Amino acid sequence: MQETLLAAMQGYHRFAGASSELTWLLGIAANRIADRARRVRRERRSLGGGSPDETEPMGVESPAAPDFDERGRWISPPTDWGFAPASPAARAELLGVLAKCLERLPPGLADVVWLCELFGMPTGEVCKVLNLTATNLWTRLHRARSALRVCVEKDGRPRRDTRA
Amino acid sequence: MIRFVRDFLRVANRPCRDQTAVINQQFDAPLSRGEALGLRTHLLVCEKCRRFRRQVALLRELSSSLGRDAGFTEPFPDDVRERLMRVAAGKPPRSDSK
Repeated sequence: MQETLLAAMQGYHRFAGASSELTWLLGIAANRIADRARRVRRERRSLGGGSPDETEPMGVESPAAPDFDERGRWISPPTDWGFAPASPAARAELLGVLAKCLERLPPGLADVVWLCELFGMPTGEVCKVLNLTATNLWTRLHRARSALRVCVEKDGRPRRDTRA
Repeated sequence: MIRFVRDFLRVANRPCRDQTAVINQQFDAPLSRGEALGLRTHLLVCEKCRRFRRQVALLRELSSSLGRDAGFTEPFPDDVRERLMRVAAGKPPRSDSK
């Protein structure tokens, strides 16, 4: 079901504002995703799973923060995430963190993530929709994924799950 | 053969910063055989870039899962796809609700 997207498409003629319709549409999708992530966290808390402080700043203020020195070597290399979240609770927590990080991406990077990763739209169509060359799209995806990785790493990386 | 060697050297000799860009590109488009071997060679000796690749792959999978859970699935219905393309092109949507 794609009721939100359809509703947005059908109702956007009422929209009046400075940002483009596409940005507005993706903003609606972002809210929907964030709602879903908040619901998952609430459900998890109600089951006694605990939760990190939701008001804690997440820190994607500088998505282009340098990970590398001038010679291209890692300054802050990826830490060991221990690997993939084993339990549903750990996965839900990570999804919540990811949704928050997605909300903080700058619009130019967020758009490509929404369309490519969340909507699963083929890259050729994303290029047409956003009027980008393939190289531009890859560059934006690279920057967006790197920023998301840094955000999750900083504030919500998966912890080794000892409950699973 | 010349292209294979050229692509291999072009990727294998690059620093980690550039390898991460190649890793991300590989998620969206196939690399040439030389580029793919160059990347594999780097990953064999660089645990940091191996971690980067695993983490980005996990985040992609989770992003896709968020989209599915929220009701966005592929393929888009034709009417939604057409409207999205028209919005992106700055054209008004067709008023098919009348």
